[in-house]
Amino acid sequence: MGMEFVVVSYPTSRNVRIDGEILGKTNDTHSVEQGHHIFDLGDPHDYKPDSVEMDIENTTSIKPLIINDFKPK
Amino acid sequence: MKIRFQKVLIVIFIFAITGCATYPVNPRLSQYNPQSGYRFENIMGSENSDGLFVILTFSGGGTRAAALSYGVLEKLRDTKIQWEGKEKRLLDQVAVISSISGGSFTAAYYGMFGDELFNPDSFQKTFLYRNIERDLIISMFNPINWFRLASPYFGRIDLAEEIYDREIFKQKTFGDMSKQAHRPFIMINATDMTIGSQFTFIQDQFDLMCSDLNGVHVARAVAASSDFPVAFSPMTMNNYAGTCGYQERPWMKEASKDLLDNPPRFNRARIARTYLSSERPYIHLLDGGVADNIGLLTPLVALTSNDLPWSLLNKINQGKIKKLVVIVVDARTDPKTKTDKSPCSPGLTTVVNDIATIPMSNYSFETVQKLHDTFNEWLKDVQYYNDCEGILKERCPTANMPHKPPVPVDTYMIYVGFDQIKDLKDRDYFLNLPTTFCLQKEAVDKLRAVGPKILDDSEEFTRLLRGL
Repeated sequence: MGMEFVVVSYPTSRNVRIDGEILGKTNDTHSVEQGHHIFDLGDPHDYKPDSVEMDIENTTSIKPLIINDFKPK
Repeated sequence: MKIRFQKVLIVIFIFAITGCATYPVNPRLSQYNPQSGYRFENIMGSENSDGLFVILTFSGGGTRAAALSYGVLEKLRDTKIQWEGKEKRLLDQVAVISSISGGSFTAAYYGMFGDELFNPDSFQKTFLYRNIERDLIISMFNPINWFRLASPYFGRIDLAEEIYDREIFKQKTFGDMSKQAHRPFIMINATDMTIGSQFTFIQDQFDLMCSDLNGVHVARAVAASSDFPVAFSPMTMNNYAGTCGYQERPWMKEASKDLLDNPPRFNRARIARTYLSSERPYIHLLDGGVADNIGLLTPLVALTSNDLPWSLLNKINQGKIKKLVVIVVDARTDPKTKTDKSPCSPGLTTVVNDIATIPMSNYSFETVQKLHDTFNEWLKDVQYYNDCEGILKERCPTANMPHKPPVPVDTYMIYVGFDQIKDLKDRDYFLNLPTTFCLQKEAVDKLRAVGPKILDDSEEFTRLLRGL
């Protein structure tokens, strides 16, 4: 099973968490395992929504899933 | 009357001994705390950095496997590298050792006692060149132990653990190993008998059972890892799930939706949940080789999944790992067998032995291939991005890719196995060594020498050293 790719976009650079574990930074391209995941930006909770749930499949390194739901409060 | 009274006394004495004999109970965890216990994130604080991340896996195979992995550690000790401006031993960059059965003796001893492993008066005397099988047999013939073994709560594996604990591991616990707080992180693997999955002696596994691994003797983990079916009895662990405030991790809930999207992930969550259930107050363990005979499965999950607290995929995403090296030390043999030369049906011993070893030995090829495929995919993903960027720049020089590339990592997969020995006679010798805890000195010497020789001949190992 190949890797999937995700970019969590946000106006500033901050941590991205996947299922509660630190994945990397916002706006970077990250390799993730195929399937259902919950993304959030950790502390401080000065963004909305609190988290985003995604089923990730059929992405490539040049066409990652872009999660652009997070906005500053 | 007097004789009858004596008989009654003897019976009471026997029942007293039998009743008292029980396995060493793994302690409860009073409160779940991810900041404490023997887990990867807590084994830091040395000069071993994540930048050059070396994983070793040691297979099963009795003393044969222990000696082969010992020789590889000697080679890494003697290999000097330049990393981050300092001269180091390659051995000092080993971050993780994942081991099975015979390989677990070497891994656990190194994890507990460090370079003392190489002292000729230590591990070599207490295990490598010793006939520990004789000690096991002698203990079985001790009449006191007959009574103890009659207890349903005390098995041959518990007797073996007592010997390993006393003679090799000096009653050390995982708490002692945690206190050292230096790498490598040792993952001793057994098999959960009823679900057939890997059971690793790390706190993350014990969290599920609300048990404190710090109170478990290292010898118990090694005994479970080398608990060969039928020769030894299964090892029992107590499961106190639900008593320490541990909550199901977020990934488990997500993975439970992945039956069709990602069945292996779904299965990992299913297995983890079986420990949280009150249906399993006791867990029974067997040799780690029943689930994976080369110890590569757990590192593979860490490399391909974001779920584990010590996910290496996440470390790669964060740019912490620049060079990733996996050295698989596989003491797999290919012994000549008389079974297929006779029309007679093989006996029970042959059947049990073959079922317990041969299918997993074959499966090991698949596991190694999966690691190879994973590394190739990572390389292709980065190449794919770079190729597209190249075409874009050629056609439209002012344009930029809409997002950054995936984080690149240099990967090295090094396999140390007897099939790589070029000399036919030598290869035949190693492929026909028995699986036992009692090998001749000459065989152990040869095993210690052959691992370094295979590494010297390895193109991948040479490529690694050239880049350091």
